[in-house]
Amino acid sequence: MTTLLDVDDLEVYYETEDGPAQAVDGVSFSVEEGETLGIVGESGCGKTTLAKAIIGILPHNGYVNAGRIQFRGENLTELSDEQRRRRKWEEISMIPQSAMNGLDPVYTIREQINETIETHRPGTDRVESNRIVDEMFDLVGLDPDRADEYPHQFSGGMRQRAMIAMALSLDPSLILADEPTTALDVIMQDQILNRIEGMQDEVESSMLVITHDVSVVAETCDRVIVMYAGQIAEEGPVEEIFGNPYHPYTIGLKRAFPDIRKSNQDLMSIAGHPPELVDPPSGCRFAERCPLATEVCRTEYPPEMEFGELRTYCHHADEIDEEFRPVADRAETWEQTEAAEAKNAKATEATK
Amino acid sequence: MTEQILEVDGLKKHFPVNEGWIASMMRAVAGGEQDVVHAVDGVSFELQEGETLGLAGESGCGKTTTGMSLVKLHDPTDGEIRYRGTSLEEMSGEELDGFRQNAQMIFQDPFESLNPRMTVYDTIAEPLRIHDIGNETARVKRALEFAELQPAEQYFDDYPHELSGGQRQRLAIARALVLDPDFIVADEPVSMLDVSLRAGVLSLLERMTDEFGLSVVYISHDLSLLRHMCDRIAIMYMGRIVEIGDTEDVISNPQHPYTKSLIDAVPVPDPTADRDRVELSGEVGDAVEVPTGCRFRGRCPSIIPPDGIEIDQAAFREISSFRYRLEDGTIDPASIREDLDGDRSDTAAFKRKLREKHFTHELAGANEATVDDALETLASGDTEAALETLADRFATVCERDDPAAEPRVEIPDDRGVACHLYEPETPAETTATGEDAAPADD
Repeated sequence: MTTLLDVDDLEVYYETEDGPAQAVDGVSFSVEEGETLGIVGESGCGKTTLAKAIIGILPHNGYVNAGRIQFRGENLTELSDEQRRRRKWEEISMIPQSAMNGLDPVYTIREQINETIETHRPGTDRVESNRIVDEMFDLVGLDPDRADEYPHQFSGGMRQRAMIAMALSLDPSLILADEPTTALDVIMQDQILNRIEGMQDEVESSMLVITHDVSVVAETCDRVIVMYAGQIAEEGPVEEIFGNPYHPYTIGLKRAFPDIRKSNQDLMSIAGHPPELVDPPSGCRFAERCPLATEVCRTEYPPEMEFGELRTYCHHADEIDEEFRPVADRAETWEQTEAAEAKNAKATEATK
Repeated sequence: MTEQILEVDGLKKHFPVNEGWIASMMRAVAGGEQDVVHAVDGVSFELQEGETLGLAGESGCGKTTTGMSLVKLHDPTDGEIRYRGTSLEEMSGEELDGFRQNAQMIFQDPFESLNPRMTVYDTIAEPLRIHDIGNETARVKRALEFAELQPAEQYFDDYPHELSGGQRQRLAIARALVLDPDFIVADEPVSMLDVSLRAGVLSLLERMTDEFGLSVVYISHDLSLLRHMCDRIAIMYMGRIVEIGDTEDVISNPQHPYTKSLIDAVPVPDPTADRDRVELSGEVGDAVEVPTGCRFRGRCPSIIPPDGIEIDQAAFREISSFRYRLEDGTIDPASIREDLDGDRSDTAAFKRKLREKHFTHELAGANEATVDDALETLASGDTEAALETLADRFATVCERDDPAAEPRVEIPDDRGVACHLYEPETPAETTATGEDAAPADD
């Protein structure tokens, strides 16, 4: 397999009144041809920022501070705006968050996809672009006859599919799907996930699926990156991440999700909140909420540890198997964090 | 047996459809009724003391409208809600005040449901002031502490924007609890929260039910969550309950075809799991012009062919779906005729075109003859007659009779299922049209 996308030590900052917020801080990973990579994490962990940096649509106060985004061996961050614009949609396309609102209400779906095709491939005749629209509609499970309708005539799920059809229309090598099913109902979500899986077999594109929903990742991805506060906490094949993770955050996140197949499961909540990204802690960013945290976690950035194909960034990863796993299912494990203790201490002081 | 807190009987809530002034004038002149959205259309259930009930379904199924009616934020169009035996509609004065104290709601979005200009203390003290309850500070403190916003005094002067999402939802819970209510309606209480914080709020809600002996109605589209939180669960579809029963029974052994599809569609956080997928055809139907009979029939994977007809399920669904779509105008014979290349009066070409698109399954014998006959009639331009021809042979009990969510013969536990696949335990009268009881073949 050849590497399609290679992100190396990427830093993406947002300019804020209080100074730069380090939304993505030192992230490295790669996507192979034909692979589906999931990026999972909570809001504010930097997953959407990462996608926007890759396709080049960061908001005006966001910028790439350091690092490289290599796409087919070419550093995207060094290209001119015009060169980047050419690669948008043709090479890298995006199914944005709440894509269903991304269609223009005054044009039919067909006109909008035709426009995309003809802008990027000047000289394409209408017969050819119409054929592509029909083909894409088929692929996402929509009736090609309905391509001549306006967005308001479509339901939310159908609009989402139309958006996917548009993202696929130029046969891009990389598709970024940002929360592709979050705004949808279960049944519609299931249909879209089904389409995405079907697409993976039919088109050769690589995919980057960005979501907070671990179930979506479990169903669609080959490999997963777990992000926390702008950094990678853990990365590895989907079976390993779900089966035998080594980062305490991954373990906690997995246990925070109810599973429909299980009755009477205990859900874990991770006490505390993610850190401020304007002035993040110098050590491990999860330390404040981590049941295993010690002094070294607060001062030193965690080393990369390898467990088979897993990459884990944690000072205590080698203690996980023997010491942490047996107690990870107990709610009190997660309640007794540093943050809670600090708060209690502060409180006792205040009452005195 | 515990006491019954709420009894909902045939609850209906319809909302008028917005119309322009020309349309409304035309209607005033010509007569006729204004279109209504049938948000909730005949829902019945009971809530016992200390029980947690989940209302589940897709968006637009009426679960939130039902929840809001329970705390009298909507007045029913029809039907009745009784709180400890008294109808909400008949309440007034002190009785209504008492109800307002005892019935609380927690809303989905803690960013919208809290007044940004009120401090934490005032937010929680306001209900106490409204209901003229003394000992304010102590009660506010107790409510905050219960919601794990500790130490309470530290939060008193904070404004909502100074709190995180999880803390805000805890504040909303504290506000709901400060009046010591009997029951709470919680509408998607954690869906706006980050995953790692959800479990904390959920465990707080669980503690609330246990310690206060509260009855809670949880409204959510997330079945995994409801399985975790609820004793009983009601699955709603287009303003109706299609299945109601013990959560474990319903989720592990669903009976209504819709419940089955809904549960099958839930993704699981396990890459090695191989779940069954039944893709539902079509979309949720129109809530203005509601279908006759079973509202799920247009998408149902197990629609029942009439007695004495032998036909494959997939082929039967295709014919039914063709009929329904021809009826509501989604399939337009005129435009198909226009699309024909060459001769527009070419009946054979017209029929071929329809068959290609709508009849992919092989038909035989009388089924084939009826379909062919109908298409021939359709080609001649008489849609009504074509529909009639098809209905004569293929009309099903699912479109004739409205199934009620009630106990069914073949279903073991205490459960209500609204589906003609199962024979009702109490026959006859329960069918809406009063026709013969539904046949029970599958």
